[in-house]
Amino acid sequence: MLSLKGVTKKYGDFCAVDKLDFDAPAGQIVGLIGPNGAGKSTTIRMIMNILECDEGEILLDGKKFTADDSNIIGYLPEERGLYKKQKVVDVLVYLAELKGCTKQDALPKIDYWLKRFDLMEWKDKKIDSLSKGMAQKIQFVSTIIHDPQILFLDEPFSGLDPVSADELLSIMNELKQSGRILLFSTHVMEQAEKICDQIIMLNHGKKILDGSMQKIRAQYGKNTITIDYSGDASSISDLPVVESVQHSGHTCSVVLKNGSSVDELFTSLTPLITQGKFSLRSIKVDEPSLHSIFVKLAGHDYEEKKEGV
Amino acid sequence: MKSKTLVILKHEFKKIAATKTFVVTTILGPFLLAAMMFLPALTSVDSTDRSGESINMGMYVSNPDNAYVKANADALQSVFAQMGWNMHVDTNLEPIHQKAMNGDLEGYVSIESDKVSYYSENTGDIYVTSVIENVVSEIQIAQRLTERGLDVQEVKSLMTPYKLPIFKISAESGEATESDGMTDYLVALLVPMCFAMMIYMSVLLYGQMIGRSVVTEKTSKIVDVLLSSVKPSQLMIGKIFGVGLAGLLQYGIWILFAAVGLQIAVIGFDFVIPVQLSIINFVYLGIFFILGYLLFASCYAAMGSASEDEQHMAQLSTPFILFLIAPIILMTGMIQNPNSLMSTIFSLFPLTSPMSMLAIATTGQAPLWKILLSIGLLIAAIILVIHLASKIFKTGILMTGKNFKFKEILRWL
Repeated sequence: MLSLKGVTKKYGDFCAVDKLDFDAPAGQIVGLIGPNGAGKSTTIRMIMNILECDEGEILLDGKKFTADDSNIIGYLPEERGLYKKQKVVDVLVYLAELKGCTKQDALPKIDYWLKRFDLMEWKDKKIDSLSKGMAQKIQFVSTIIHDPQILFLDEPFSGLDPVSADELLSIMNELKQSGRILLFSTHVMEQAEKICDQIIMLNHGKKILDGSMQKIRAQYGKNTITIDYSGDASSISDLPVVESVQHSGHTCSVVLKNGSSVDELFTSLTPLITQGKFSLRSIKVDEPSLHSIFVKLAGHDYEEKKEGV
Repeated sequence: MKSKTLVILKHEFKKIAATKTFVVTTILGPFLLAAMMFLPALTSVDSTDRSGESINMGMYVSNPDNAYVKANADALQSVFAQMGWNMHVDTNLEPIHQKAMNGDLEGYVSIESDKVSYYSENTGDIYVTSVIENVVSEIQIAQRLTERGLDVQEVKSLMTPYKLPIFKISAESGEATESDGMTDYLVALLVPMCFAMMIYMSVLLYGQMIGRSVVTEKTSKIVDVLLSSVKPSQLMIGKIFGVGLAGLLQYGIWILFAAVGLQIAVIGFDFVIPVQLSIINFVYLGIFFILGYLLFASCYAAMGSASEDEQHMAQLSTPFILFLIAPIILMTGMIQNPNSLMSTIFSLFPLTSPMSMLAIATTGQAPLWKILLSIGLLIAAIILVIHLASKIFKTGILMTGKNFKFKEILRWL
């Protein structure tokens, strides 16, 4: 298990990461999400030992995680880069050697992974003759060639075709099952929702969300309910448990007041139905998407940035 | 962890030494250098000496009966004939002037009863004008001497200048052998100049190579991957020594070339090896190359890490290039006057000493303690600069999005 305890990084007066705590257990995919400038890159760089933290500590299985442990981490940065003028195999051997592998050990593994991504014929080609997606796959291969215990993948799916994306996903699942620690970062919330066992959300250098998707949904999903009806349901807005109602045709979206439960709403709806004002067709508690939670938590910061892009 | 530095070293070495450019420059380098030194000398001699060329030279003779005109015309014609130049003599000025204008004639000598002058489109040809001037002034002098009743031949022989015999004392045997002072002077100047130029070129070349390699890794974002595997200092040291090793290999090959070339010259052409090309001087060349390289390579690595792109790096490294150029400009003065204050400062100050001290040491005029002091100061400077450079490197390599000024970078120390 990788644990961050009170990790803080300051650039002058600006606090990029502020007393960050989280655990990334083995055999799980942990998603690190947050708007641009939330402190993700700085956090990653501290875990990768590229930056030192000003305060706090990073522990692996209870022991301090240092630069000497660099051989057990694999890192796929968001901005990719490989030596353009060199052959695929030479670059992979070099990066593996930097992780403490010998050339003899690395070569069969390189063959294995190139085969899996259907890239064997490119082994002796120069990097700059590869397409963007291919280079991306080569870079992913370079992050796992030394069989790392901790893997950080920053936007690993961007630029990949669906077949390669599926292959990558199945590799990630294999690694997860074999007990690796996988950290994953993305801006595509649907991806994070689908892939991650645990989500950690940062904003302004602070953790604002931490937990499994189930737990997060349970936390943020209770107060919106969609009701399909026939008849006149305008009186719903008068109920004491209801904060607001939005009607569209014979469907209305009900937002409950804080502290009110679905059960309470149901109990207060029953008299209205027995009075014959409307009849209920269906009632559904909304599962909020990670996207909507993200927007809600990151607030207008995120919306502004999105418009800026 | 040590071995990772070695991995980087090996990678950087291969990246340079396994390229065609490296092979070509290594093999052609000595020939290019030789060509650069000797071609201008050869061509400049050839281009001024125009005897034997078929030059069409005109001559306007205003009054062939005049004794002064006749004497000059005869003398010039015989000299031109010796040169193999074609003569076009005319007593009319107009046609000959026209021909010179059209380019049919190189130019023409106008001989009037009181003066001789030369007309040409190309008045910059010193060779032609000086030939004419010599002939005319000899006639003038002869005329004046005759007017005073002196014998021309006698005066000439009386005026023969004295040739000073020069003897060189050998430092080993004390024997004195007659020598040509001019050749010695040239060799004494040429060898140190050559050595200093080699240092200049290779330090600049390899220094910039390091800077570029750092900038490329930074801009292509490989650096994040590298730094997740190694420490910044390992990356920097690995680079400096990897590229340096490639440089040493190149030097080794060049020195081998030189040794073989000299041996061939000695055996085949009875060439006497100048004292400046001694083994100890080649050792100095090696030492000062290594030290100079380490010093400037560290500076370049630091500047590269702080740069946004190659242009920015060139800007940041300008101050260092000035320290490389200054000794080249002042080299002749330092070689001729190795004990002057300027020579002492330049040969001890680490940023200028690799070239300056090497040049002075090569002439054999620097005391051993001074050479050792210079080397000692250089080593101390290298240790300090590597330490500072790795601090800049560590910060700079992760800084993007801004063209930092030199002053801002110094604040990272």
